[in-house]
Amino acid sequence: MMKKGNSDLKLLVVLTLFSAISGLLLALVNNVTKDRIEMVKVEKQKKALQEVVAPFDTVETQTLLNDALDPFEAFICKKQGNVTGIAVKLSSRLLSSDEMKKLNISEPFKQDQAYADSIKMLVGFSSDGKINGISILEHKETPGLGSNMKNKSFMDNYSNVPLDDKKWKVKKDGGDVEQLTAATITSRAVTSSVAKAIQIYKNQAKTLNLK
Amino acid sequence: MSINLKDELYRGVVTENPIFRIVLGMCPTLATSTSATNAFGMGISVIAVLICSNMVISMLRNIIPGKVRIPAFIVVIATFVTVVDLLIAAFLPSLYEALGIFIPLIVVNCIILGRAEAYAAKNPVLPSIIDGLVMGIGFTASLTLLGSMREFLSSGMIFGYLIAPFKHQFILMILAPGAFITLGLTLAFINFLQSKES
Amino acid sequence: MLSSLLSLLIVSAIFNNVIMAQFLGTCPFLGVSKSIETASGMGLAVIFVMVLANIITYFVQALLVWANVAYLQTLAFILVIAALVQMVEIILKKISPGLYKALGIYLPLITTNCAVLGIALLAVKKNYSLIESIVYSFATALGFLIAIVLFAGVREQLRFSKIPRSMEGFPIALITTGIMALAFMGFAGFKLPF
Repeated sequence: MMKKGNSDLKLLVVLTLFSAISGLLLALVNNVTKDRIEMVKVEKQKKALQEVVAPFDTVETQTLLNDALDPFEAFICKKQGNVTGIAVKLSSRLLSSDEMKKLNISEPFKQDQAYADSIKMLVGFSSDGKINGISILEHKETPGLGSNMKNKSFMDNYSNVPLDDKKWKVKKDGGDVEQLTAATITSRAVTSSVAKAIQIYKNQAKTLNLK
Repeated sequence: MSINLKDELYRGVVTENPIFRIVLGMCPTLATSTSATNAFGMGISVIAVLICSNMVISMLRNIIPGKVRIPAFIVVIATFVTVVDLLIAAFLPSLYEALGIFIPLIVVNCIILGRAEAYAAKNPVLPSIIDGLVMGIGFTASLTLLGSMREFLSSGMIFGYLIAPFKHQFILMILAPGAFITLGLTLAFINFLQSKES
Repeated sequence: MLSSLLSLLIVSAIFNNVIMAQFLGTCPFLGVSKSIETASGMGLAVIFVMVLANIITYFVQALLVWANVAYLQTLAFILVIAALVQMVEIILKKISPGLYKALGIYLPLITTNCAVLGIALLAVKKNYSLIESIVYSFATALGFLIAIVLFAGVREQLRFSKIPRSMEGFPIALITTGIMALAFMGFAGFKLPF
């Protein structure tokens, strides 16, 4: 009996020692890499913003909807203290009326959802009331159909257009946005999300006293 | 004891090829062979983990009590997988995004545990390192081959360079069914070659 | 709340089937599907392990975050799973020695089942609450059970077909799985009415 107790203890000691050593090694590597990993994240964010807003030196981030996986954020980009552009990060997911109220988007508002899951995007506006462009961050739309939303022909709908120049609905619904062939659902989802982003931008512009 | 590197390489890539002959490590194989680049990146990560874990396990093979050897191996492998995970996240962010959760899943890649149990636990350090290296090379080569096939069939490109005379899209190849069918047909072809030899 | 859980259940079990759509768990899927009986035994064992694993790793993750050592996640999770499988082995030996023998080496292999570790990691990534994690893991494992039993059914029938020598074994199994995966793709874009 004594012998078994001894060898069990030995097993436990060995395993604990192992875990301790590996824990230490991992702590070391983590220390060495964590700053770099953080920097990669910040770089990625900066690059994404640079695609849709005019050049800037500082960014102020505002969380509009606090969701762990799908936060809606506004990025206020300034150059030498003046606002050059605002980017809105949002997704096509269905918002509750409480959330719509929080975003200050007037109801009734027709929310169109994506074909699969939700489309996450970054919509860039310039401070003089134009939409600069959109950048699709994540999506699960059908490859070859909905995924064509990334093509230039569709993206041009939102490229450098004064906000009051277009009716922001797809042509099928009486608007001015050229929809994708055979991918009306995806087109509607993107257009509906951009319409939300436009409302958010207008609210921001009012608070910041822009044009 | 002399190690013939050429013989060892032949063993890892041909006779005991982890994917095509022993048929281990199916999950990462099917998921990361969507393109030649992804496959290659995954393969290199596996080589790194294989060499390190085989080395350490061989060094400790006489110290680890038999009863707890599987948990002990797992601790060693998981440690190196985490190290590789952190290094890729820090220095190769695009690969990190492409491979996703399949990097931590290297820890349950049967190949690594299999080699630890079958070889490193019973052999000295240098042969174990070589074994890890050649098995890893075999894995990487097969995985990259599959990745290249799927990438070529789906878009005419390999490693992002257009090889086919025209650009086309056959998305199915990068999706799930394409993975299973490509691997199945490749295995059948290899079986066919094998039977021709004998 | 209930309808979102129900849709999570259906999506995780069928639309996003762990094997047909996510490739997790293919080793045991290919290895234990020769007969419907062993396939269902394996499937049930996986359900048990996966749900328990997700529950325990939920708390382990909270602990890791609190202690600021999130990078120990892979190590901690796999150790939890290994211990859990060890426990299941002991229990199964006592309760159902027949099933224990039938599953043979495949039972300890649940430890290296990418699906178990994968789903535990994904539940953390998707930030599921405890209830959502339980539904998620149960549904995923249920999907595994469905897929493996369906597959075993097909394989049992294949025994009576004439297959070219080179295709025997894994090749025909993989191609069959590919065709099944093709069928499952039909669920993409399906919008549940709730």
